[in-house]
Amino acid sequence: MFLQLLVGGVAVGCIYALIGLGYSLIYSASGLMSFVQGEIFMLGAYVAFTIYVGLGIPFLLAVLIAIGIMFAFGMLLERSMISPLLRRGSQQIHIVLATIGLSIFLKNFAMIIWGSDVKNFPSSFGESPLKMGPVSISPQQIAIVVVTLACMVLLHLFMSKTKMGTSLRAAAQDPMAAGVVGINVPLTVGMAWALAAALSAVAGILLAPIYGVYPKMGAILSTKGFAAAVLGGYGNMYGAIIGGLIFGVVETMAAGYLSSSFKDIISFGVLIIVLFVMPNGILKVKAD
Amino acid sequence: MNQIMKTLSQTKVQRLIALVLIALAAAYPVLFSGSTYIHLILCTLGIYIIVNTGFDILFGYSGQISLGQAGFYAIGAYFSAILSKAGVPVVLAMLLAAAIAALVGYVLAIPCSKLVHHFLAIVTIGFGEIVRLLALNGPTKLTGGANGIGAIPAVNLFGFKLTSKASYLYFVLALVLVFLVIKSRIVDSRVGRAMQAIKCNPDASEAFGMKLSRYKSMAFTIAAFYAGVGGALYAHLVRFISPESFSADQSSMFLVMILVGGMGTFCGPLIGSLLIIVVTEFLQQFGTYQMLIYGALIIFVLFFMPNGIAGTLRNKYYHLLNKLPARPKKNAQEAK
Repeated sequence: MFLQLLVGGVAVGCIYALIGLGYSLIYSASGLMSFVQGEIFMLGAYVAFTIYVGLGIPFLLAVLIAIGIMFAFGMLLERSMISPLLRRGSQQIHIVLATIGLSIFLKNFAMIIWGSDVKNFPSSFGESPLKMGPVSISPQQIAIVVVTLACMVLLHLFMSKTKMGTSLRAAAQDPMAAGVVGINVPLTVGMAWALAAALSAVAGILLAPIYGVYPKMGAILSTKGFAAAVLGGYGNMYGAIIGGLIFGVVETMAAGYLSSSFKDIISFGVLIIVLFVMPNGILKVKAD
Repeated sequence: MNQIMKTLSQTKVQRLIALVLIALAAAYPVLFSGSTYIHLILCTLGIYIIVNTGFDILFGYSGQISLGQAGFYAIGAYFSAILSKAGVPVVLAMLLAAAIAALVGYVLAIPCSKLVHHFLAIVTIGFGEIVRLLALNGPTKLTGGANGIGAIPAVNLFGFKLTSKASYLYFVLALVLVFLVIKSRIVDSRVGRAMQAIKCNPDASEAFGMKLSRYKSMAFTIAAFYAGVGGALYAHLVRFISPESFSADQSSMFLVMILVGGMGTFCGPLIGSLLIIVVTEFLQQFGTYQMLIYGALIIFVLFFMPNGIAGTLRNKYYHLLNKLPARPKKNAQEAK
């Protein structure tokens, strides 16, 4: 029972970690908060579904195209909405509101285009679960963990080894100084939003075969991804991973041992207590 | 009455306009007693104005974001419904429910007064969700679960049962005026100035000896009380409540209303509530496109009126004032 729940919790936690990573990237690059990550998560799943099932393109290619589209969408979002708003002298709160508006827009956009029923996303890793002693693991869960790990390693390499990643970190630390030494700061900020969108899309595509695809699939998950990022230490990449895993495991344990209807109450309760006791998150990032 | 007039206006012209508006509002239910639907919308408008007025103290004046106002709104509605069904006089039940909401707000403010921006946003989102889920999954005997609570008794005021929407409208209108006065008294007081100072510069305010957590939690408590009153009014207006009415969407709607109207202004919450209600009703005819347009509208307003309508109008007003040729001193003072 415990091990089974742990496996489920880790799988869910990986999804939270991917979404939380997106929040952390956006925050460290532009100091902002986006409420549209959940809808990007949902759109990513829908786009992959349309390309894969609708057009009949092979799974891997379809997924790559979908991620590419969401990457471009993230860049477009920053370039055409966020940075014009900032240039007009909007405050943080206006950005929050603009992303709330966009998320309402996208949710209903999806409802009109694809309908509000749950679409069944066929899993391409087979259905038969893997038996390991008392624990049974579904292939999709393995895929979630493997892909998440791959994403993190890739992101880590991108951030520390490539020129783009280094300039992204530099621009996040001090935009003005980075601009002075010739880094294209607007591009790096756009890049962070684009990466965040791509990560959310990956999470959406990974989770789609388990819960299906529907317009409101991102609503609660985005909040939990954000909670994961805050729990680990907001703005810190590795914090989002730790926070996501803890959040996923706590939630699944609460659902398994207590009651599934109380799982969200407990996970949000834990979040409030954690923020009260250590407002800087687990990896000690200053909360302001 | 004098106090109300003082709140609403500074100049004679404004005072006249306010008087006409109040008179119109008061005469309206008598003149058009037939259209219950319009009365229902006007009552809802009044309720939203009360909630948003309180929220403005928290958000506009004290600078703390909350995406969980629907949680306090729900507490007010549920406790008022439960208490009044248990036999407590309705008005007393409403007051008690609002007091409970304020108490919860105070308790929530203890961790919240340490947090800013995103962290505050996530805690309040979490709070709103917890309240909604407790109503949905909590003790079903009390909250009715997903079915909600029906047959909530009507307001009984000094032996008059306010069963018709028109009579309820008077009750709501009176409360709106009372709460607007209370707000303007609060924001003009020492406490209100302290809140605004803390919003502008917390470090400097602390250096001047203000206890940040005290004023921040005070703002939270006041906003929770207002939202609780609004929720209680809603429960006895519709006389049926279910967890669906208190979702996170409702919380962001309150936030949208304040931002569209203009935060930190007296008229902002009024204009915002009115506009969003009118827009929502107007968009009904578009069916599935309703929320799509609503979302696009929010972005549009942010692009072209980032200070909200009240803020933009005020800026335009001062802009116009500067452009006008110099006038004799007496007139210039009146225009201000």
